[in-house]
Formats: sequence, C-alpha cells, structure tokens
Amino acid sequence: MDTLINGLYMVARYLHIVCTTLLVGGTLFYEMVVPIAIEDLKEEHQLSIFARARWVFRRIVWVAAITLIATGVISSAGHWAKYTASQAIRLPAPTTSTTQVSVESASPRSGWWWAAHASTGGLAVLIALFLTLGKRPPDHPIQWMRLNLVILLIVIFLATATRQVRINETDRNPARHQQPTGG
Amino acid sequence: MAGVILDFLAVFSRWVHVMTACAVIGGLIFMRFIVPRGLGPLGEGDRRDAMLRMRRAFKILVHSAIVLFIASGTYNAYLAWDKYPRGSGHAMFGVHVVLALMIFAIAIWLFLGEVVTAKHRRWMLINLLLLGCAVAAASSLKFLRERAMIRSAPPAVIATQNLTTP
Repeated sequence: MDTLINGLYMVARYLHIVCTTLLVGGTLFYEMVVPIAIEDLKEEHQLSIFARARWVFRRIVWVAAITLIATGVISSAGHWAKYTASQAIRLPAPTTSTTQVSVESASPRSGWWWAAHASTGGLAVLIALFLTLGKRPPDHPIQWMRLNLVILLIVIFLATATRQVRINETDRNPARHQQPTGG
Repeated sequence: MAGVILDFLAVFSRWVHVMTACAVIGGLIFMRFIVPRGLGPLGEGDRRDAMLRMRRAFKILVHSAIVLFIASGTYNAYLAWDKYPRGSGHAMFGVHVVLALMIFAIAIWLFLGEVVTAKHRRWMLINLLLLGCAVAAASSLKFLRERAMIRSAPPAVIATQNLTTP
C-alpha cells in the first residue's frame, strides 16, 4: 500500500512540474519570443497570429491549471504533517544518556512557506485563466502576461524554499518525519 | 549567518535549475505545437521568415539555458551527493545526467544552420520526450534522496521531562 501511495506522490510531483513548465515556458515564449518573430508583419497579421496562438494555448492553460491544482492538493496532503508540525529546537541533552530534549516553537516554518507558495500559485493560475477566458483577450495582454510570468517565477522560488526548509526540518528532527515521504 | 547564505544559495540554485527547465520545455512545446498553427494564415514566405526569427530568438534562450543548467546542476549535485542513496540514487543520477547530455547535444544540433526541415521537427519531438524522461529521473532522484534521509536517521526520542531535570 505504501508503494502505491509513494508512486501516486511521485506521479503527482512529476505532473505538477510538467504543468508548471507548460505555463511558465508557454507564457515566456508567447510574451518574449513571438513578438520578436512577427514584428515585421502587418498589424492585422500580427493580431491574427496572436489570436490563433491564444486559442491553442488556452486548452493547454486549462488542462495545466486543473492538473496543477489536483496534483498540488495530493502533494500537500503527503507533506501535511510536516507543514502543520511546529518546529522543534534541539538542546543538548543534560546527561550522557541518549535522551534528546526539544523545545517546541510555535512557528510552523515550512507550513508558512507552503501557504505563500499555494496562495501565489493560485493567483498565477487565476491570471492565466483570466487571460485565456472569453473570445477577446483583456486590454494590455502582454503586460498581464509579463506580470504573470514574474508571479510564476516567485511561485517557483517559494516552492523551492518550502522544500529547503522542509529538508532542514527533517535533518534537525528526523523522528517527526518517519512517515511515507509524500510528494 | 553562513548557514543562511548557504541555504539561500541552495534555494537559488535549485530555482535557476527548475526555472530554466520550465523555459526550455514550455518554449519547445510552444514552438513545436502552437506556433505552426498560429502562423497558419500567413503565406509560405512570411511563415518561413517568422519561424526563422523565432528560432533565432529561441536559440539564444536555449544556449543560455544549457550554461545555466550545467552551472546550477553541478552545484545542486555537489550539495546533495552525500545524501543520494548508494546504488539506486547514484544510478538515477547517472540516468538524469546522460539524458541531459543527450538533450544538450540534440538542442545544439537542432539550432545549427538556417533551414528548418521535417527532420528537425521530429527531433524536436524526440528532445521533448527526453526532457520529460529527464524530469521524471530528477523527480525520482529527489524522492529516493528524501526517503534515504528519513530512513537513515536514528529514531529520536523527544523527552517530555522538564528541562531542569538532570
């Protein structure tokens, strides 16, 4: 059963990364590479290319958004115990025995990083959906995409920081984390 | 203080690695599947010119990405090397590195010259599949590493006694 659950977490993490690449890389390409390629064309041709690319990209954004949310929930469930556990600060044992003494701190550090990642990630997904909803793009679509790209980069940074803090906590207090490793 | 800086460097290096992978994989998918449909209504000449300009811009991104991948990947591996489980971890790391080298070679070859052929499109698809495998290997490596860290840790006993108790 553990193997099955661990397999599910691995697949969820893999899909989470792949969907992130679709959103980030697609946005980057749409916003930075396509305008350079079509700058010499007439304006109506430029608009037509942007509209057709948006039409195809929309399906990718929708599939990626749904998968990101689903896999994010699965991965979070796998790590939930670590995110909600308060942080323990180890003190040297007062005697030569193997007993370790820890003082519980009120701050669940990796949990806070996770919350920042999840909330900014949700915001980025909402902006991506908003940009591809409807028949016409919103005003200033390139500026919106640029903003979303910056938010997505922050989201990835927060995910990396969450992982680093979680690993540091595992290093400091392995007993707390002797459950299936999650996503 | 040194610990905080090292932690920040570890996070930054991983961020660069993931961000670069996102830019390359997403860009390749966009270029292979979305752009050709977007350029559909253009005439043959305009389409070829637009594709070539796009390829030139993407080439700069891909070549920079290869440098960033090697630099950040080397640092990440240096930090994590001792934590990889011997056997499965090192094997998975080897798979990841070999796949990465194959991807770099194909990417460099794909952007040589000025003509895009059907063969290039096929190899772009192959490179995308290899990138998917490289991400899967990295993901499995991370899983193996975290499992090894937890398994190798001695079971800690958290005392419930008063701190002043000898």
